[in-house]
Amino acid sequence: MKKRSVYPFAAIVGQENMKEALILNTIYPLIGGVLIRGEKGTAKSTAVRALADLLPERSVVAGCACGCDWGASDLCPECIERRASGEASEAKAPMRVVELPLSSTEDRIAGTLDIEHAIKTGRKKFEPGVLAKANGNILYVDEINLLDDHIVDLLLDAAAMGVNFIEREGISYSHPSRFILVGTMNPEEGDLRPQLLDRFGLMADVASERDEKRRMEIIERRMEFEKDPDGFREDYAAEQQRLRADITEARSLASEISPGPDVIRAAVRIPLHLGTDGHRADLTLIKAAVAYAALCKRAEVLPEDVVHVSGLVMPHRMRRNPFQDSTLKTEELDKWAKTAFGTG
Amino acid sequence: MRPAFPFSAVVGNDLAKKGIVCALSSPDITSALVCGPKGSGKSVLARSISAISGDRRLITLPLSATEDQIFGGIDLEKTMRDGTKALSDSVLVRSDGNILLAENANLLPEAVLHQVLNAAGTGFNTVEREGVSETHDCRFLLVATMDAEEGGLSEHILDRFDVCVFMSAMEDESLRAEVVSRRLAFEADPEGFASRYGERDSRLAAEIARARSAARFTRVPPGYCGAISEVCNDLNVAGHRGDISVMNAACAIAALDGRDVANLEDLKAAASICLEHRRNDQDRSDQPPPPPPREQEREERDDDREDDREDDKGDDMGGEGDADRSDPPEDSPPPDAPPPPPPPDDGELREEVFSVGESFKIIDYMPGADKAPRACKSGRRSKADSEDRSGRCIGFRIPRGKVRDIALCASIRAASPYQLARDHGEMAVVLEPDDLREKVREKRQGSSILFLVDGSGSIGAQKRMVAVKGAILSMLKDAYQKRDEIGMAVFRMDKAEEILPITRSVLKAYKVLAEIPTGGRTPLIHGLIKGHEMLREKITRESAPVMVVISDGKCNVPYTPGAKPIDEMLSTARSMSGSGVRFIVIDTETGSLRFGLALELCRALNGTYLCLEDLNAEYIESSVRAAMRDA
Repeated sequence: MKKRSVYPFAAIVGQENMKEALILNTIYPLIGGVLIRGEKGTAKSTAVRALADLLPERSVVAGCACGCDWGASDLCPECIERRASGEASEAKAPMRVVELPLSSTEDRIAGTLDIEHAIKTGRKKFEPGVLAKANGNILYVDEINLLDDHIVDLLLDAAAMGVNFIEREGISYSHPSRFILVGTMNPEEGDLRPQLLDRFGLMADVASERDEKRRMEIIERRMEFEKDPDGFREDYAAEQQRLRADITEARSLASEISPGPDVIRAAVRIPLHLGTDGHRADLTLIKAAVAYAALCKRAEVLPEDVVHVSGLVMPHRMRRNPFQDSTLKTEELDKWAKTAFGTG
Repeated sequence: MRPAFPFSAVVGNDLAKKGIVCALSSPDITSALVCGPKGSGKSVLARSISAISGDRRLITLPLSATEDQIFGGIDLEKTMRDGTKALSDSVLVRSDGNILLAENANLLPEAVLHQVLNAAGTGFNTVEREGVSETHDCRFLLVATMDAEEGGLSEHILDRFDVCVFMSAMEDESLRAEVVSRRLAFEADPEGFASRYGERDSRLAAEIARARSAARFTRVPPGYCGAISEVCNDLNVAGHRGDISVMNAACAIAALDGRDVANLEDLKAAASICLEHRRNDQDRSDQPPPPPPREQEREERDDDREDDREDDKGDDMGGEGDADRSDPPEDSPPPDAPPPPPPPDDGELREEVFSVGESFKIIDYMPGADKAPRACKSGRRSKADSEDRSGRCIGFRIPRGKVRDIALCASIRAASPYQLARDHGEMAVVLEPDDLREKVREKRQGSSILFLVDGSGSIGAQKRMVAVKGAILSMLKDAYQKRDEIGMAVFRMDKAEEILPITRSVLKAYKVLAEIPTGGRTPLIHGLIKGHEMLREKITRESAPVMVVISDGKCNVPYTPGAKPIDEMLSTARSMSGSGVRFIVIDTETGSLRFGLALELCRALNGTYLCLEDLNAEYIESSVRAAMRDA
């Protein structure tokens, strides 16, 4: 199959929120993914698929079906064996966007008994599923709010521990499954389960462009791309390369940044002020702020960064009952933050 | 292996930690439940057990586990090799002598959870599957976690847990900062962080190991047994499991403290971790909010159902009747009881339990919802065997008729004993038609509910619409939890109008609800027909959609020009009564002069009748839910 040309990320007009949320996650994968919420035809899927082109390379154990990280302490049983026997070797693999189609079945997602192997040899062997492929990569679910409940349970289970435990059909196996969960949804089609909603580090609301000139631009670019995908990609190659370099630089910068007490204080006070449950919001605020500071090429994270990213971290955590719209009044929060932390 | 977050590094939640340590220290406590809202650290606490459990390992029970793998079945490799049926290495086999961790236990199929709890309680597991018949030891501690927002556990299952603790997020700014700092430090360097708390954890592990062997020889003074029974009675704890758990927990707590006789403090601590999930506040006037009688009815109905199932399983806890409860065997202290319990202490005991009651409210954060964790215990979704190859595969069976949805793995296992005798060719396994098994699938899905609202002038004029909206709102809340689909139609003037197509978006329904127009006449027949149209495609063999008709029944617009509206309404209703839609009629008629037309309509629809006046909006959802089950 010929590889389909992907629309370049740099060529997406507007939707800065969404683009920033995606980039922050590639800088600091522990942020916990993005939920992109908006009406149809707002470049949600385009952006996620385009992200694949910007993703950095990872160090993996060569030949591992579960994409085990080279140098990680938790490995799949086969990599533990490889390491013990000295057979393990390092390989470079590009980070990928792994799609989870709505129609997927449980056994294909979790992994199960390799039936072909069983019939041919009479022996049990584990056949990895989507959660194995997604390890170290981006797991993308389009229309995630339409996913069956029992499939969502699987995602929750794996996301909670970063490990996929399989107890199916005579197979008992576990492998690391740390992925950046990216979901898109159209709120008109129904809600997301609260537990799953909370698992998303960030949420970006997208809306169609209202400005006439920019709308024209969107259409022109799209038509240009469809006419000559390769030429179009060529035009954006330099910009894409710059973005890629920025992300790589920010990734190494982010690992050096350690948040000071004022940043932690800000990250604790915002959720307290807004009255959200749990500790996940606090943690995500800090991680996203660190990623944002690194993206701004700063080696230090500031309370302002926390306030900045709260626009992405807090909105989906605002709902305390199903009848409140989950919106965050950013101006109000900014004003409050100014007095609370003296940020500008 | 990457180390778990250290137990000693979990900030706050002392009672929850105490409960876990106590459960680990008692050889007789076999199950513990950790409840809490999302992001409160349930999983972190549960996972951190591996740091203090000594040589007991943590075995994970994933939600996607298949039944044969949990409870055991035929072992493919061994059976093929030897030609005799061998038991597989199931989760329960591996759990023996270890700890079984079931995260999000409320999302497990109830039958599975029930059977796992049974195995934990009895210490053995009997396998009767796939031609394997065997009983094996499995002494393990089950640790389960749950977030009640996703649906609760039935009271019966809850009662089976010896210990139940509640996690909550810190409210204090500096504690929250501590939580976050520790988490970040752990993520940056798991090994280094774990080693910093290593000493504290291993000290605790040693204490637990010591207490575990001593707890058997620790006793509760006979005089205290009466106090335990009294507290259980006071909290309306049904059955005797609560009493027994308190005794075991008190022994473990005393043993942890290095004593061989439990004191009153131990009992108080034990009561606070063993009874909170079992209390039944029904007739306590001092416990807000007092649930209305309808709520109680629903629970009784539930209990009946659970009891039936209990009987089927041949459970060993006989005599859970009310009569037993008031007269526990060890009520009066024997003359040689060392420390007789002074009555004032009993009062103190009660006080202690109340203060725990406060913490119970923290997780009750969905306004208007029942108390967690038994929030929506009445079967959170209708479950139905699915025939169309969608839904979760819950097992397999010998096919009925032509095999459509083949369960390959089960088929191979079924064929495995005969492989030695069969002619193979290139393959290791040869399947014959008799080996074939097909999948049994279950769909967990909400119902489709249509609210058919009377928007006529009579409703608007008397401000009854406020009550009607309140009623719908409370039902919407319920629908949100149960993941029901909802739609809305209103009839007024001379026509019926679909104001919300069937959707899963409760938020949208709420917005529509706020804007329901009123005024004009009552074209009820138009409404019925419109509503039925909207629900028609939802009628399946597995589930019947529900139409909630909210009206006083005073139809005054004929559908066929010239017909008598009331007669036509009733005949239309009768023709709909057997069509696969369940009906609930909520009568909005008030005052002294009544026509009772809604009741007549309900009879014609063969539906369930509820009167708006009698329904407390707060609890209406439970009534409707109960009615839905009966309808």
